Amino acid sequence: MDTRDRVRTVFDDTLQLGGRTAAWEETTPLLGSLAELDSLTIFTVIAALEKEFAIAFDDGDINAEVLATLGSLTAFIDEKQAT
Amino acid sequence: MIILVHDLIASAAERWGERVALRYQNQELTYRALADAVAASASGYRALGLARGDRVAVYTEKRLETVIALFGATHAGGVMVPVNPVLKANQVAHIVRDSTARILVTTSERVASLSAVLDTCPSLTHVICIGEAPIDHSARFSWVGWSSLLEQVPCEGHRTIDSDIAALLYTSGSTGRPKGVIIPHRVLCAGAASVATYLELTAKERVLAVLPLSFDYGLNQLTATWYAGGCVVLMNHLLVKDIISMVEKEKITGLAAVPALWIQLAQLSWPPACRAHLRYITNSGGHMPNETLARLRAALPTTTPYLMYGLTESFRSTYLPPADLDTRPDSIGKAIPNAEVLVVRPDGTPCAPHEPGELVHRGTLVALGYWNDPEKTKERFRPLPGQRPELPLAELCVWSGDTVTMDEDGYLYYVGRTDEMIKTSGYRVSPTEIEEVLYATKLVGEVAVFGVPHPELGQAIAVVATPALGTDLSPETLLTVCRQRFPRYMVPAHLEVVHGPLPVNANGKFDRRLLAEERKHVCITS
Repeated sequence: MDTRDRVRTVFDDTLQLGGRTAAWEETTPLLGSLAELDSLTIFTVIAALEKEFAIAFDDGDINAEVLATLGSLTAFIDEKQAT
Repeated sequence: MIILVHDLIASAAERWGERVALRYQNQELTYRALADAVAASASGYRALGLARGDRVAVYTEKRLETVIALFGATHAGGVMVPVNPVLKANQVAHIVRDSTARILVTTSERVASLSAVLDTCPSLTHVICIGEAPIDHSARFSWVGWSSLLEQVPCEGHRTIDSDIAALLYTSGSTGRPKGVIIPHRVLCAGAASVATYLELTAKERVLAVLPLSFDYGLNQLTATWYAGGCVVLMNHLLVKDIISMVEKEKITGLAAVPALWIQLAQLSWPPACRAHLRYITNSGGHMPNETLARLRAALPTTTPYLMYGLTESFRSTYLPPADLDTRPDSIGKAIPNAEVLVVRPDGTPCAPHEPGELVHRGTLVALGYWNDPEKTKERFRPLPGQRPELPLAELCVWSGDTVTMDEDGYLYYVGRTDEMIKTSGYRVSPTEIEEVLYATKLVGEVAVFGVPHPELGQAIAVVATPALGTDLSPETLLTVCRQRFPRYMVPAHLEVVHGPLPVNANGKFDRRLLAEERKHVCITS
């Protein structure tokens, strides 16, 4: 599985989306487009992403630009893993 | 004179056609472009057969299309039903069914979560999809693409007057399913003019809309700003710090939020650059703790805070003039222009100064009741107490369900939701009062106080708190503080320190009901 698929799985599992993420593409917006993703559940998702990719986000790492679309989040995680 | 809410846009387009009315991400609309888009969507609704007074539900995050879809509905002679984007499929279906909406506007991303419930909404004839519409001929309604909605032959809206319904605003009470508050055009127009006047809004305003447009206070940000010819910047946020970045980036002049959000915003650092443009902030939807207000004033010394109070049922009720902030920081102020606020006992007689009583609102901002719910309407919309006997028709007022006090000078103070007051060992305790003291210790980040069942006391006081940012906190420390500062009956029986943020409900308030439900057994030992 590539990063994008793993990100999709993390979202689907943590937010219990019942497979809806299967249709997500690079340009699918994350910010605002999902009722299940709110200012509380975002922290559960971030923690699950850290675990899945064995990375640690710094305070301030994650912001609205990173969370704009599935593509922007995937690119950010790839970059984070490379460093 | 502006008598219909969408005329705010048309009238602004005549005066300030080339000014920017609305921004979202990198897109923007001038007043002229917004007025044209609203008229085009109205023609689209008419082409789909929208009759006078038909409801159009709009379930999307904040974006340009949301605003066009909402105001297009009233322009066509219909009723807008903004649905809070954080609601889940079955709650959305409840609102669509309860309002018997004919049209639903949503996005292709959201359609996926709605597919299971849309067929349970018999009133729907059309679902309009922003983005790609699904190809599905089995549905009992028709799918329409957003772009094709805007391409219909121009068509006038149905004739409408200012007492016709403009909006149903669904609000969740402390019990039961959300109820639709019926808002006529005159309330939205009067609310826009009143708020624009006391906030002294001008055409230079750049207002950041972070609250949902399904709140009266959120919707009013649009209408009041347009009344003055300013620009509204729409934002959907997940992380609170992004709001501060946006204030800086967009050179925002005005920001409105609710207490739970201000409590988080006050713990973050505000770049000094914000001081140059952030002219005012407003709070509504509950009491802002004094400690939070003090932090915000220290971080934003040139920004004017406006403390406001309002219920959806009476749109906006009071505000504290900024000049009174230093002498009365815990007051919700006095009635806004052209509204009157009374504080009464259960029998309707006026309370003495400082005596707690129910806040009753009268005037032109009173809504028309709850949609299709005469019983609940009768509880909240009741005759004016003490009306002259010569007047044969009863004037209906909103009995708020909020307990407040009034001082000798007529300033009001919020005590609490009447149904959230904790009844413990024969006392009535205000959760707000305990929260206020805990915030003042600066030990906590967020705190919620509520009652839980207790075998001897009736209810016991429970506290859930998060530590102040970057600190540790033990329940024992907090309990010691409570013992020092409260009489025995106000000391919590249950005190928990958790790592935040605390859960909030769809209204953006700390979800005391959920917190209480999860802890209903903590004081009951078998």
